Amino acid sequence: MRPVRVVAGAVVALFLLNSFLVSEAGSFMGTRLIGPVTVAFAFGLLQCLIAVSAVWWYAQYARTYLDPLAQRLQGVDDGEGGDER
Amino acid sequence: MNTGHPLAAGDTGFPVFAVFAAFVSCSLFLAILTTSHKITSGDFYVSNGKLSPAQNGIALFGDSVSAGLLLGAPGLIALTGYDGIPAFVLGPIAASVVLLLLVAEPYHSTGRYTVGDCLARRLRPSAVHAAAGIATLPICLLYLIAQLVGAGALAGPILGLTSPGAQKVMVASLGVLMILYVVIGGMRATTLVQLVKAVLLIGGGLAMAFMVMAEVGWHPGNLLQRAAERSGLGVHFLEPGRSFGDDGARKLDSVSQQVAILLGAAGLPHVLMRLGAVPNARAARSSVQWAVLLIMAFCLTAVVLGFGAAALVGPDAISSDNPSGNTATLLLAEIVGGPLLLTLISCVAFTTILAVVAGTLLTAATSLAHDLYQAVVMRGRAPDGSEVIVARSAVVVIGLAATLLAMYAQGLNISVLLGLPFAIAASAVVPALLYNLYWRGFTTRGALWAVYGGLLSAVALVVFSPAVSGNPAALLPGSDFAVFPLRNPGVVSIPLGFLLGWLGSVLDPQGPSQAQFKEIERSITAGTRTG
Repeated sequence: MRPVRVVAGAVVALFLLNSFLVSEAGSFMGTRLIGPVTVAFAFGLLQCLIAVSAVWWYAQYARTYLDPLAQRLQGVDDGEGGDER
Repeated sequence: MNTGHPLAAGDTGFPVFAVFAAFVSCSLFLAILTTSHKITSGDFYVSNGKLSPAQNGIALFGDSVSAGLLLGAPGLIALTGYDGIPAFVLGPIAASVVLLLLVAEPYHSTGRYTVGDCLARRLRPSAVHAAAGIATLPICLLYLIAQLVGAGALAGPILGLTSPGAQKVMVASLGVLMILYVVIGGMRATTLVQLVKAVLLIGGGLAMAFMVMAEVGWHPGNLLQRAAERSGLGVHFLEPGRSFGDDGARKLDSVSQQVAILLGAAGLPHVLMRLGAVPNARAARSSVQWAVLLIMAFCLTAVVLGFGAAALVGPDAISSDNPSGNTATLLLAEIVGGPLLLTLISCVAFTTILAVVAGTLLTAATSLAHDLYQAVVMRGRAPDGSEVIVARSAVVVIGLAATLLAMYAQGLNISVLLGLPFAIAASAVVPALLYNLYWRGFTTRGALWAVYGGLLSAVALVVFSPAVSGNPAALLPGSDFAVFPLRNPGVVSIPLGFLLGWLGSVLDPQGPSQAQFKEIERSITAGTRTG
């Protein structure tokens, strides 16, 4: 479970960092990068990309680590006749 | 052609009404058709957990996108440029990732229908069921009122009903529809409306976004450029912080709102309840995966629509039509797609409100019947049939109360009601839920302190905030008892909820039950409800 919490924490931390920067470092976030695109827009886009990769990573992680573990535990439960679902 | 004239309501009112009425009667008929006569509580609350992950994920997306997000987000972006983005675009996306990674599977494995069920797995059942019920009801009720008032306000621009009386009739008929749906079909009917709404929402939103992009030559930079030019502010339109300037309180307020949406959207009771409508934890995971991707697609669409409205309609025309920008999406629809698209988007807006209020009403009734009646009053001994009767009566009572309050609130400035449910959910529900799933040392006293402390502090701070009194735009403009400077209490009440949950657990003379936490951990790892 640990890496899942770290990734979730990172997504939240990035969001809070963005809130903090927008309110405390407005002129930096308003710097223009390419054409009309500001640092704030780029940062927002980065957050979306990280959210997508977190979802993709979690799907992989759950399939490789969480599901087999769950299956093993459920197998034990079935052996004891204690699984209701 | 587009210089601030209101929508051509007379031309579109009738088609909108006809299409919406046809849709409503078809889905009501389907709801009746799919309902069996002998309905159990599990059937009524969560369709017996028999929904498929895709169905449930699409409906979960529907639950997360309220009319406030559909109309409010593009409107705010059109009026304030970047400042609408953190709370209404990045917030829901981050919240859905948190829901997927930290909440969905453990919540499914430890709970049945309500937040109280999840807490009662390791804490004293009657006490935590009572606390969960007492926190869930105000969240749902406030959310319901805000959505219904929004429906009345929409009746003006869409159907041409501008008199307060006609708007009240609109609220009342939507309220009655909502009650009918939920009483007859429970979760089945609610899911059905939610599915139809989600498909219309994504379809309509994407169609409109494509038209906007075609208008600006498929170049995102071009869209931003034209929005900036049209705003009259030039590139400053795209800089963050324009809407709050150097005002310290308003800056903190904006952060507070963003944090409340981030955590609140992952802890709204009607969103959590839907996690129980699939057969197992793995299905809960894949339904949230569906929802995250759809929410992301929708939020990016909302950005295109927001800047599209700024570029093609213009902020001046939008704010002269509606100062809060809630009609920006509709004005844009009329310009890029004519009456046909306007009719479609208007129907999407009404369907969205109907679907969201139905889900919220069902959650409130479930909490009343399952947490307060069954677990607290009857100590878990009431027969299932009578719990269903209580749940159905609760639908009628809560639905009527919400409708009447919304009719009364029509015309008041209810913007405070939009943020408060999120703030309460983030301060009262989320701390208890996360501690319950992940912290070994959590105890019953900790849960009670977190839930009641978070609930009371969030509500009290809002009552004493400038959103309720002290200025002409407040809920009660005539009085002044605003001693707390922020409109959104989240930045104080959320840490307080977490702190109280920790403090109460540490100070609990009984100490945590290690055996029950082991059982919870085992349930979570195995992905089943038995340990």
